[in-house]
Amino acid sequence: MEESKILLETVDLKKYFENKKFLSPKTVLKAVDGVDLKVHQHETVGLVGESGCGKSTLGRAILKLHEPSSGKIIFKGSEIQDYKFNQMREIRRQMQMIFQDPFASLNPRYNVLQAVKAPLDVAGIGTSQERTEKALEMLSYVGLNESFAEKYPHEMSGGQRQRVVIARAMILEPDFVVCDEPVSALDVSVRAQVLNLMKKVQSEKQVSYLFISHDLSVVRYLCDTVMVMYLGKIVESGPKEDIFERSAHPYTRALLSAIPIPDVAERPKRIVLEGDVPSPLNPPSGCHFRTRCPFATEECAKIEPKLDVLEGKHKVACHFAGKI
Amino acid sequence: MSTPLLEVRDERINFILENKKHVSATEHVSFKLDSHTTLGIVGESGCGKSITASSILGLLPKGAGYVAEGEILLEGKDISKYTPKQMQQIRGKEISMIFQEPMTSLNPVYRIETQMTEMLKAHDPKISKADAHARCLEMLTKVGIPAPEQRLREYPHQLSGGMRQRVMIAMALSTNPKILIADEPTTALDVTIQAQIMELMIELKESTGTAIMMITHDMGVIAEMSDYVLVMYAGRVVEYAAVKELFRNPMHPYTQGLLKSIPRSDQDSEELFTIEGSVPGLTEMPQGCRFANRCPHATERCIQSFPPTVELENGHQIACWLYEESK
Repeated sequence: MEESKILLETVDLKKYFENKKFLSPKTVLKAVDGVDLKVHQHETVGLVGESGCGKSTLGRAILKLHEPSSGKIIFKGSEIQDYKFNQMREIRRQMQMIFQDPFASLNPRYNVLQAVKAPLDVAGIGTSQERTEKALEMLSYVGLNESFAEKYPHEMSGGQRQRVVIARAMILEPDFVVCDEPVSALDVSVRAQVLNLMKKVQSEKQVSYLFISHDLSVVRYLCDTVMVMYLGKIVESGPKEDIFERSAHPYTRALLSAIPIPDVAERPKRIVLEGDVPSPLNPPSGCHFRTRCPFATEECAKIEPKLDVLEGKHKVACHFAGKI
Repeated sequence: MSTPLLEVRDERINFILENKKHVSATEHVSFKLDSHTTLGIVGESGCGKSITASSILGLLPKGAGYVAEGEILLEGKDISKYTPKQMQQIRGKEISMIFQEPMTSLNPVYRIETQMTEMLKAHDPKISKADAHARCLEMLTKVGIPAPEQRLREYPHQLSGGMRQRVMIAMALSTNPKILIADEPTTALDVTIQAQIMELMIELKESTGTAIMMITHDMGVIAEMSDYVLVMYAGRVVEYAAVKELFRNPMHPYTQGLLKSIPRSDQDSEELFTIEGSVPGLTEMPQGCRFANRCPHATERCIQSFPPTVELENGHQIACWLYEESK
């Protein structure tokens, strides 16, 4: 991963949602609050956090499905944050997205072949015959034989639908795919099939993934680099080994310790966090995590910690990183 | 031997399809549950774990599902034949249930206190207002809700997901039931909140002695909460064992595959094991072992007939032909 080029970069990316109701006080929700992110070629970056932390908004803002409030998005060397709709159309061929619920992201009136072919139709590539052939080829690549071509989404299982969605996302041979909880709606045995497929697609088609998930075990399986998000900010990032073996932020540690492990061997005492995630409309001053942090001091309430290098590529936003 | 608190014997649940056909959704489901223990029921969607729980409370959808065979014994009495009126005395008082999505289980237009009091009144019509209020407060404190006095006056939407699930648990336990059925109680919650709720349930089980039937698809939750585990696949029980035994020595090919196909947060894995294929549909159940079409060890006999349940000395039960000879 050392030598590969940066495919996508965001610099201080922000997405604020404002309440513009007449006569009511203006409130601002800082869903994504200054995120720097780098995705290298052929890399899988995992973005983890609990619901409401802004991970999906970040994924959408990168594809400009949400217009970012400020900051830069650099894709293959060009700044795309101010691109208009028509300019984005060209770029979007190289950037795709896979969503959580494959049933909701497939048109119930399109059969599988039509769904997978649609991106080619829109892009106007080749003749109709060639497009059909390419779509069938792609379907067999994701493990669906020709008998599926005429089926409709309701006739398939969740795992098969997610394969169709993957085939559709990959047919334009994108360089970058945002995957928003792609396996969360699937059963365990089917989830393993889809995860293996996604891994295979990546190594053979050389794409980069931004993999958004709340499930750290899936992230550990699939990702090279992991970023942990809490209330709109990245609190810790680094290579997978650093995050899972040497996590330095108290939130990452609590998150890791909270996951139930399918094993009955003895394990260290769980860190149970008190309370809930504060409202993102009114986040705590200073460090956003301080209200639930067992190590919080007065300093944490006054000064907001920056995401600083702890060692190598491992970055942590905590005043006590490396000391606790 | 004393009678177990709850025993389900050879239960079969049938569903009536739109074309008036009756199909069995579960078959030959048997298990026991004692107080102070947690029984985990694990399986993938459609395996019949939730309807098994609903059938115990007589909550199968009217006109669409019914218990066709078998007995549900609560302290030796068969409650599967009870009338709806008799069941009302069981529900909430003897057996309570909590569900996956606490927002849909709470009524959005009533205050928390109104809803909790309604439950208390249903089982003790003579309870005074002051007593009910005191009981509500006591229960909310017990489940770890800060500022319970204020929370009682609030509406469900003012509480977070974790808080709502705590309220549900408080309501379910306010009548001191003997059994608590929890149907995926932590699935809709974030991991840090899930950890809180699991901790709470373990604590309550130990202090009150309530037996818990924990239905989940998450092997991790099973490992941390259960004492015994029942693994279901396509409407049949395939394996039953004490939790340590099951995780150290899984014997049914389905359980083995399931455990190997879970990515782990505490160790690296190269490629995940996969169980090929998918679960057969309700109307296309094979006559033999229901896992045969996905099983790496399947033989002609597996396709022909369903294996009998083999019980080992340590109580480990498996429904698989592989272990039939070893008996």
